[in-house]
Amino acid sequence: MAEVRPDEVSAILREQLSNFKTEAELEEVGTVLQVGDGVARIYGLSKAQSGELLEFENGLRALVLNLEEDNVGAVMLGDYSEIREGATVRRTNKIASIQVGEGIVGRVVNTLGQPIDGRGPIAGELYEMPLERKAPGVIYRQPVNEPLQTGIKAIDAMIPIGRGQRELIIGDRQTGKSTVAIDTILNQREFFERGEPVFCIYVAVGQKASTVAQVVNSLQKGGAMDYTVVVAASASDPAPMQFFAPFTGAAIGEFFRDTGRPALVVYDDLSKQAVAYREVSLLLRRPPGREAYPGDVFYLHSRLLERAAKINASDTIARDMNDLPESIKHLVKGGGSLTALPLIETQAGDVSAYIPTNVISITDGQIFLETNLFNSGIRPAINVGISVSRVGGNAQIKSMKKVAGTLKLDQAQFRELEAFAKFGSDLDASTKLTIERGRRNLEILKQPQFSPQKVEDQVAIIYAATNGLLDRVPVNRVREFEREFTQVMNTRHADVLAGLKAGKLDDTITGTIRQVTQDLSASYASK
Amino acid sequence: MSEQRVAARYAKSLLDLAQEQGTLDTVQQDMELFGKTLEGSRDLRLALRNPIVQHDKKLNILRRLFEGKVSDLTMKFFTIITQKNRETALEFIASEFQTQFNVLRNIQTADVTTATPLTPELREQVQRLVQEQTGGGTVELREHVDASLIGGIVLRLGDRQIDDSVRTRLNRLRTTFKQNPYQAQL
Repeated sequence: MAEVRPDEVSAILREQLSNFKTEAELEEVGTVLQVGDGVARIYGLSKAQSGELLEFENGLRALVLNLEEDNVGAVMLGDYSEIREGATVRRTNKIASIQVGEGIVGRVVNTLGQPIDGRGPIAGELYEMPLERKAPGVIYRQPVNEPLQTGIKAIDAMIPIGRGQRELIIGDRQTGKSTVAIDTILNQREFFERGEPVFCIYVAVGQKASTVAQVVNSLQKGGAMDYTVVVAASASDPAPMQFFAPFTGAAIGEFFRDTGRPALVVYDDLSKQAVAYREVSLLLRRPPGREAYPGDVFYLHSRLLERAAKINASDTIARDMNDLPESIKHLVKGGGSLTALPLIETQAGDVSAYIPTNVISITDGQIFLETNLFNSGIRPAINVGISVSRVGGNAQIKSMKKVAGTLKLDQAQFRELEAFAKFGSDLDASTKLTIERGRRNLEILKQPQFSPQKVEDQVAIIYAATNGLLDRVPVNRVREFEREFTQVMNTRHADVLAGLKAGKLDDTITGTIRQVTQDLSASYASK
Repeated sequence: MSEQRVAARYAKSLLDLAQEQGTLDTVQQDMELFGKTLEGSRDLRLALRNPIVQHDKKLNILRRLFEGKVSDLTMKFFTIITQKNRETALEFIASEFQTQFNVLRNIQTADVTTATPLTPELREQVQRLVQEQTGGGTVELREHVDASLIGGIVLRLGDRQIDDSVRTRLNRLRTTFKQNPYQAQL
């Protein structure tokens, strides 16, 4: 049991009290006309700005969203049961913003950037980052050219994601959307250990607090909290906190992006955020549109996702970037990136609902997850046929690009022929071969939860599978074979893997892979 | 809220008309009397707001109450208001008229709340403070005593406020202590 010394207590008390401001200032105030459902109408505050933070006498914060002729509409960011008609509200003269610094890494924070993990204040120097900020303009960007390795074979091979890209993960409930995102975060451990960390931000919107705790737990177990920030706005938080949480995530990501480092932000999930935004908008009496969402729900998502970007490598160009916050101007470096992985939950596979179509059209591609694939044991349940990545291809490493081309083609043919195989009718040899190889490829693409794979391991096994080297291994033992193969490659042929990682795929490398597979598959075939 | 907009229009026309006829001060006194009466009687407020009570009944009530006590112009104003079915706006008109009158005469009203009644020296100090803040004009102090402030002063000028009361300071102290980053909230 740790001890707290009495003199320590009094020292802290004294320190807290001495920091306490006693000087009264002239402040601008308003009076609450009406309060309810988390929304307040305030009279006065004639100079309040849209997006400004207000403060009630009991310390509760509110955010100005509506400026009307004779009153101001604000949403409350906390428990408003103590607020009464006639209460005084004061302006803070601050547009909603959070404090970000290096110390935020490894922490769990709420929408206002305050730590909620009980590990004390955020350490180190902090910089003020606005929640709402314009996305960088075209001249400050550059095309996506570096891969963001997710560690998931199906994605890295066929739906590659580049740093600075926005790739949507979409699917019904319980299809493993969050798992794909969390695996991606876990896979960045490799880069952290190498000293080139990709900073990850996981934004949980409207989830159960217990689910968030579970996610934090699995990130901790995988050693991912060393480079990850979790922004949590759970289901019990007020709607405004929920719909602003992704903006908090983006603001944290921008801090890393604008200081020249790669960052990855996961918005889990934007459908719940849209629902929270709808709630606030309807309470503010904004007119409802399709599915009762307000007219600017598209803008809500587009302005959020536009902030994902690959910044020009030149420091001088990056320093001129538009809308840079004053606080980080001296730290700006080029070459940073912010990759966004928004998640959308569909209802019974309906991707033509309002929010899914909106977000599909905003993002640079989508990963479709399907319930029937999930149930038939294909996990991650990615439907490769309709999943696309519009820009990531340029970012793939050369060796992966070569092997993945064959894999994509093989799988497309396999899907065409798969239906025939179900009849069990006699097939010609080449069709049989395509089907057999497709089944093995399918096995290769299966991957259990929390086990991301290094890209060189992926290339090696995909090379083996697409070149028919596994044809002698029975389908049900392919995964067993894969494990052994990866182990042998890692222990005995590290140089080959290093070559693959560097993008090489020459005869010596392929020769070694052939040799290893032949040696191993012999023992599998004989059994 | 729409009431306030209506009230502003009516108050302005009353003000303009009174100014034209040179009876501004009498009308101002009338409106002040009317406002005070309303403030004093909840029943009257409710009766004026009540949509079931007929308009001519409302006018009769106003007549019986204010006939002889207010000027002709004000009485005519009441008549027109009841004709236009705007009795609900009357209480806002009274306060809105006051505000517009003050702007016209460059009078600054300030609400001073203290825990104990102001002493004459203090009053003078406050008056000077208000004049400094607003840059001249006549200052009209409305004094309130609220023991729950414990000590100090709250000075309010329109939508600006100086709050130097012990209550607010204690409140702030409480919120500072309430924030405990060492306590997990997840």
